[in-house]
Amino acid sequence: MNYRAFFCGVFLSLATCNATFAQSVQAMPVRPALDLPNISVIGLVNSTFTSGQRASLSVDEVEFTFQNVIFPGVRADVFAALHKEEDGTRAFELEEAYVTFSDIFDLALPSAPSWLEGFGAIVGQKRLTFGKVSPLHPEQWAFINRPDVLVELLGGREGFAFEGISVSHSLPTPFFAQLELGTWQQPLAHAHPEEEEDEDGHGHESTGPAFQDRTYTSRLWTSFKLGDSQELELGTSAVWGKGPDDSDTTIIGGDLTWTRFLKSNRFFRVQGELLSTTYSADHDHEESRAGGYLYAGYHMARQGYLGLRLDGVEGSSDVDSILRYSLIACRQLSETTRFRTQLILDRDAAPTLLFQMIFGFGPHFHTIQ
Amino acid sequence: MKCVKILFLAFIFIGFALYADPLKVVTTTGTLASIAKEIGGKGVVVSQLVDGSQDLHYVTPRPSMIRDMQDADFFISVGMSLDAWVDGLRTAARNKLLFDKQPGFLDASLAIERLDVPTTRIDGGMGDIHIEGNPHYYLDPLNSVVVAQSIADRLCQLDPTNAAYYRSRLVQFKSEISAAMPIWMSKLNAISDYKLMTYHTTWRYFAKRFNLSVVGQLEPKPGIPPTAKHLLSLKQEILKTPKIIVVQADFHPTRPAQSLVTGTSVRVVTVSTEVDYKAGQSYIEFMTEMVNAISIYHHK
Repeated sequence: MNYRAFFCGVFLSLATCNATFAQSVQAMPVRPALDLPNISVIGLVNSTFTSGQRASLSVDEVEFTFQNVIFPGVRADVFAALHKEEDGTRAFELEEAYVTFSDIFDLALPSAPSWLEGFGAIVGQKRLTFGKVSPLHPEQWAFINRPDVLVELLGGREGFAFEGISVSHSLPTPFFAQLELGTWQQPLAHAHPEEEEDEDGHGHESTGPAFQDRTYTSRLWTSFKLGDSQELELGTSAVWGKGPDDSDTTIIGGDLTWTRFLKSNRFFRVQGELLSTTYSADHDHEESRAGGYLYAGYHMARQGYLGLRLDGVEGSSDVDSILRYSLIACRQLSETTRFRTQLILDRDAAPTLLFQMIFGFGPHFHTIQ
Repeated sequence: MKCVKILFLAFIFIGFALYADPLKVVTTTGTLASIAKEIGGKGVVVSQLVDGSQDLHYVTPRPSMIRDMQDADFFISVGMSLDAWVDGLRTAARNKLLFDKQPGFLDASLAIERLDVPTTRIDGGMGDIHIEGNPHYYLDPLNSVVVAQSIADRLCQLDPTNAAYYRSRLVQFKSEISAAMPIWMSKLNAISDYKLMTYHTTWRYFAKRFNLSVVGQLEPKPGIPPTAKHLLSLKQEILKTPKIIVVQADFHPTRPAQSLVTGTSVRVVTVSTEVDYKAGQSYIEFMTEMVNAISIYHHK
């Protein structure tokens, strides 16, 4: 399918609708009812400075989002992005397109017994629900680059995005606990994440696990309210299936997020994830690798935040281990427009300074992850 | 004697109805929680998602809020995009009682006569403009009555057994507000020769209700932090018209206002913009505190 033609057509028609609407509003004091989806655009401009290398500035991604409630308890989200490829060309890619059913049994069997209530489902193409960062879009991260452990072990620079279905249910516990199980298949465009370049300019390729055919996921997400000002989230995630050479591939992970809420919408957050994987590096050689990251950040509501991240990934027979520190600063202009810098200190390489500008407009919505 | 028996049976009936499981009401803010409790009385258990006085635009949603919403029979939001983040929580909570158009979800702003609704195209260059209008309607006491009416209607729909009880409490709330209005009005009339200068457009409805004029905001545009250039132009205004009261919410930074009034006789009034429901404060007590804080300025 020619995504470029399709999305250009959709975008132009919606832009025309908006323009017509804007003119009509100026003429009429009363706002007419509208049946348009929420449309938003988010752009990522990245720049990299490394000692001994030429500085670069690149509009890496422009994301177009269309979101709407399509039935009571049913919403649709489409995220399409104009990406910059390695050779400098740009290509439209369907990042995510899924429908969320808030209560599937209520929809399918309106007279279903009460114990069947609260089963949600997502159908479509979606980023992998694994840990805290993997399901998020880059503008939602507290840092510019993906943590190294996710680049190495969980789908490279872009991360995994699967097509399939997941079902989630909130467990009847006094604290928040949600279990999500999914069955997926890999879209062809994402079949070989190991070929993608690492984005920080250090030039080594991700050699982590990959999946083909049917893939299964599970995630247990819990949260404990520690008084009025603290919250502790604990989660475990797993993804398993067959690798490209039909070998068994498994990734498991655990995550922890502790947030201390302060006055005036400020908060201090510590977040960490640990991943461990077993996969076949080639036909007769099995690899086991582990790694993680730890982030601590002081977030100042609308002003921005300061953060520190430690990345560590175990090496393998082909790849050296990684140990890096990052200092992060963000100045926020609005909910979707901000400037960020990240200084990466690597024990084996020259320091790298990343700069990112994120700009956004239009109503944009993400479910809490 | 027959009347006494009927009354006795009626009391027993109402008593049993009220001893049934109370409705679990969750609200975004303490102000809405307070009004919901005023109307729901013993028929409801009310909790709030956001503690204290906070900038509702920048609240960080927590998973425990999802848990609160999963148990709720009735959720009340401020609306007008001030607490737009609750939509994500409602989706995650998957409580079908709280879906759009369900009686268990109330956007409390729907019946409000809105101010500052944009009539032209808006964009980010105009600051944080809400397409639905100024969302700080709850600082007008008469709007609290409108909200109370909406809550009472919805409680009657969700719990028809106790409808008479909720209606009676609504009448009581209206009469308390009616009784307090002249007192608040007279206190603020005493400073009618003063003008308000506010940090944000938070007091738009409050000022309109009490016939106070607002000469400007510390923010150059809604949601945009004060700049030195803008504060300098406001200072010129203060030097020209010294009868100004600077009012700001307790979650806003105090430094811009302090730098603005330095070297002048103008003082800064810092107040909470939400009812402290957890501490047992009522809407009337909250409004009395706010009116006192602003009007007492006159006597200093």
